[in-house]
Amino acid sequence: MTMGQLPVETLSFRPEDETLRAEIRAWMAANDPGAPPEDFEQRLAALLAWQQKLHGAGYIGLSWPERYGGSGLDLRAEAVFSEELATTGMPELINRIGVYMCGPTIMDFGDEGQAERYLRPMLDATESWCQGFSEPEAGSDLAAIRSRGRVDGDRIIINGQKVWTSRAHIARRCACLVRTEPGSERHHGLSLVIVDMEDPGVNVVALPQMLGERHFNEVFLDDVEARVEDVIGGLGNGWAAAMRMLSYERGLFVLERQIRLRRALDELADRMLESGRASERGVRERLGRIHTGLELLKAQGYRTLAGQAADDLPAGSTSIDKLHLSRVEQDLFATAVDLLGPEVALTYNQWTHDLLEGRSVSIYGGSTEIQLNIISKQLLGLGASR
Amino acid sequence: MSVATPEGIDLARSLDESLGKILDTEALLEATRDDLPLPAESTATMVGLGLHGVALDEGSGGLGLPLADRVRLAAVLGRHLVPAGLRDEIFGAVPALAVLADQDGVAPLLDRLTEGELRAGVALSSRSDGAAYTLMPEGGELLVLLGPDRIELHRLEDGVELTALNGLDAGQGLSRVDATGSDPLASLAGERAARVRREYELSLACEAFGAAERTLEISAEYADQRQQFGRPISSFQAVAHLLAEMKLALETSRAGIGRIVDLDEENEADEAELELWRATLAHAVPAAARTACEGAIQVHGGIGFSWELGLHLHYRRILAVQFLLGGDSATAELVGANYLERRSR
Repeated sequence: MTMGQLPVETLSFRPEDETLRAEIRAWMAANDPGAPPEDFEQRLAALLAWQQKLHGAGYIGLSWPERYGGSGLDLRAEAVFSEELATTGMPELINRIGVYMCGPTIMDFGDEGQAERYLRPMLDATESWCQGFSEPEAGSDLAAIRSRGRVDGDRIIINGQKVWTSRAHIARRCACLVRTEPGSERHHGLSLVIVDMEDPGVNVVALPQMLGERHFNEVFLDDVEARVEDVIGGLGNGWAAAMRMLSYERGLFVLERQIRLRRALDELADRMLESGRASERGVRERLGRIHTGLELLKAQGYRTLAGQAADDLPAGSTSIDKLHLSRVEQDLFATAVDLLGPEVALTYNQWTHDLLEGRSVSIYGGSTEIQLNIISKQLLGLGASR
Repeated sequence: MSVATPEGIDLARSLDESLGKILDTEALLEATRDDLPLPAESTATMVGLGLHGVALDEGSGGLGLPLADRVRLAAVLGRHLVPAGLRDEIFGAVPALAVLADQDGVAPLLDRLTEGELRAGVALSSRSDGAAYTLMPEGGELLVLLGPDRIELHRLEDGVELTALNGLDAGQGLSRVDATGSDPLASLAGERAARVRREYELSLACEAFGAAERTLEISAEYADQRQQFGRPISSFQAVAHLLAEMKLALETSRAGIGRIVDLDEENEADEAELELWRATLAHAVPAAARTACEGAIQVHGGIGFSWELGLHLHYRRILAVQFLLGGDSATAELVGANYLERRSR
């Protein structure tokens, strides 16, 4: 039995990356619009305007090839952008799913026609994307997909239902996983089809979250018409394409999230310094634990990006990023509310908002239990675990 | 780019093989049971492996291996539960004597130490109360006392008081150190001294990592073989998830070690940032190693708790590392204090 790799490579920045960072940082400082409005319509407009402004400045799609409207740089540039974006008052990009997940998947698995039709409008967010994966009977067990796509000549007629579909209410396109081979089972016979959300057969119903906010939806698909030429990776190859798309969900996202969590910890530390509690042993110890968790999260994120940059990411390895993120995020806000005391804990504010929202981290994008399954199977190679 | 050198990789591989032959579980169990050092011939063979130059510059007659190689070698020592005293010479005493080498009489001692003709112990003095413990090799003549930012080199015969203790990680010569009655032979304060301590601490963390990674390998293999209720226990989710938690703990630590190697090589990070990183790893890695090793014992069930299987040897070593570094709470507090201090600037 041989030992694992040590040390592993993490993402290193070159002088040109630092030059880009300085440029972006200055731009963000001058252009940060601050927190977006609460009102849904206004918020939507602000988020859209923000991505368009970033696109105008040349910062969206830094790692995309120039022929698709990108800058032809590498993942390091994208990492720099994600980190600097997280220092602004704005949340994630409105078309994050398009730019970071669907776009790269089309580049990897799709054809030139799809690239031509769909990539550029992702960048300026004229077409926002969502991901039609989960279904009422296919949550953790994604391979249990029931939505059907009946191939009819060059068309696919889709019927079924998707659930927990983030951003479906603002998306123009959906990368939808459906069963196109009648009688197929599990991972076989699936196709990843691009669906036009303006098709009359698409019905999006809000599914408010525990905080009353609307981030995700149910999507009903009734005789929705899509095209065979819009199947990413070809008919029957949906599982591989979907898995690739999920692997893109980690890397950069973790990096950006980590910076936002770092800002929250810094704010908590400042409160402790102001109130004089920073000299208490228990306070130092607890902040030390959260700091440690965040630093390891950053290290793991850099490790994943180095692996992605070298196209050498072991299957299942991003489950480590996801699991660790959920632990750190939940610990951070639980610790914050505990240290800030009843006045904060009893009221509705950013801290309690984030405490509640933190419960979603161990569920979305594959629950903790599923990540543990993936680690035991794919990283440890355990025989029969299910 | 944390690229290990070909020499370092070769050395780690051959060391892994050699140590596997020298250190079998039976010998380690015997030494632990009797609280005695390993047989003299095993120790001599290990001392003769030429590892004393690992953390020493080429200019000082060492191998000049970069940090990327050193973390790997420290992990290999951990995998095989190499005697703590030998580890301390390689990663503590030799680098300490190297920075003291321009002081009177030190250079010849360093030569004899790297040749294996002289043995030395290392003690970390506690950041909070100054208490210090050493794992003194048999026949040791020197003590290197590493304070937070000060190195002192003492001759034992010059008045260093060692009180032998009944070590949990037995057979390693654990003693409490009182050097107040001894005049150091040589000493150094400041940044270079602090760096020796921090790199030594990092090597301890890597050693714990190596020991823990070994227990995970043993456990994953066992879980796929051991049958209960007519199937391998790895097919039970409760067991598989326990193993996955062990893996999670070790992989985030692995990333952390990779990160510090990269930061060290980039030369971009300021020293304060590196210092906070090393403190962070000194807290995180032993804690992760402990989680993994406790999981290993659990996965094995009754046999995991047995004397003969020997997982307790790894557990003893990992606990020793964690508490030589100050313990879980104290190391977390140090990270927090360091972070708050930076934040208040």
